[in-house]
Amino acid sequence: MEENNNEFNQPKTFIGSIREVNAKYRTPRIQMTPIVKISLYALRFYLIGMLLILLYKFISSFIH
Amino acid sequence: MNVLSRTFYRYRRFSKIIRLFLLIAGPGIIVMVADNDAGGITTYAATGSKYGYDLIWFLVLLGPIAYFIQEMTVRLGAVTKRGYSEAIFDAFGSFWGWFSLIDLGIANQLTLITEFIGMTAALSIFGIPPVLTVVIVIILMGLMVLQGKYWTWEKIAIFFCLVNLIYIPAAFMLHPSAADILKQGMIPHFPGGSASTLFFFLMANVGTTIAPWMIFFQQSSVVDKGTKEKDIPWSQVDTIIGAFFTVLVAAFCVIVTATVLRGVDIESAAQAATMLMGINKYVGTFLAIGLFDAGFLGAICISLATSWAIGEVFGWAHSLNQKVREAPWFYAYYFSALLIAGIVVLIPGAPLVLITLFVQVVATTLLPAALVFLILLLNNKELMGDFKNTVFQNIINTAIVVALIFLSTAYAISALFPNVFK
Repeated sequence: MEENNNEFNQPKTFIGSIREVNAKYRTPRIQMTPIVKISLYALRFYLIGMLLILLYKFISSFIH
Repeated sequence: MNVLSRTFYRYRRFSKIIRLFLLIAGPGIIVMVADNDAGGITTYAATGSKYGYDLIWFLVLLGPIAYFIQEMTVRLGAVTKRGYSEAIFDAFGSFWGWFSLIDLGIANQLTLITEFIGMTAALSIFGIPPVLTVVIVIILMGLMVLQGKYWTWEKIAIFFCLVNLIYIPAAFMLHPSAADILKQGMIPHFPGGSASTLFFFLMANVGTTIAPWMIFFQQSSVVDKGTKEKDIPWSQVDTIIGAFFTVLVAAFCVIVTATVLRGVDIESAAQAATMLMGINKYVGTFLAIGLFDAGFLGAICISLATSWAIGEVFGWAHSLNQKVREAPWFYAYYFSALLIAGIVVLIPGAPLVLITLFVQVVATTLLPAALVFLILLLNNKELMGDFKNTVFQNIINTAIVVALIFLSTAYAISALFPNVFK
């Protein structure tokens, strides 16, 4: 952990830090059981639904 | 002699248990009491003035709900020794990780602004200008974290939690009828009137009970404190006590406005405090102090929740046990979040009502993911070992999560489209 902190505390660009995080967590560690898969799909649909509602609100407010 | 020695032994044992509990207690009490933040106090004040004592039983039900959700963060933090943000990245990959972190950052920043709105409104009642309130709050919150010890920060936060109990003497000063409270408030029933208004109030009260920042805050707090697996039962007791206090404060806040402001349309807790000043200046003062304290508690937890989360993900040093030079980015984010919130509140004509509305919507996009991930992680044997959810916990927690997702989504939709459920 200490090594990790030192490694991360090196001066680097913000984009570089984001790339490093993406590389570190590229593969989800949780086992993709059917329940996990269904839950993640349901969450994606939920998010898309919420985004559409927000978009509708924004467009309808803009028109009025 | 035998009786004396036995009494002394029991006393020693009891005092040891209390000392051990005081050592481990903290995150649960703080997160639960901070749950009654400025927005929460406004909701309770409005609920009391609208429905009198009629919905106190519903608030009592929300205590166990908050406990069951927050208890999972205790186990997850104590077992994995990592905050919730890092746990999501690790288990579900960078897409869900970034989504949670960015959404948390936006929701928390907006909520922080609402806490500053509450604090400035509360101190305006005493003639303190908003700019001075913002400066005082940032200095106080700075001093709390810059002393360099988690333990000290926690005990100061607990002091502010005790101040939150100010609604109890305030209620007693109004001499409410205990018989009425028990008869109207403790027997489950739904008051008459518009069903859509009642549904909105129920959703608003549920919405204040569980917020995404609470999950992230308590887990990071448990990790920063160094809670171990063997401490989990104590931390669970800590969370139960916190849940008890959160319900107690909410109920007494409702009692205050229900007793003297029944039938008045309340739009903010500050408005209620100003009106109460005209009825009983001490009660009005107590309500204003309580509102400031609620906003302050909310602000200290919310700003830390984001700082911890970002520090965990980027691998920056992120502990309250570290000095500024050891964890510069952690403190830089903490102070910049406070400064941004303070400045926004001071901008003349800033869309504060829109921000307050938008908070609920942004929080609702994150809450389902945060809750579902919690259940999935707590069922992972590889991660949790013997501390994974039992069948009973899964039944209870899944039912709570489904109900919370449904109600918070309905609340967000009704906030966006006020006539949708009418």
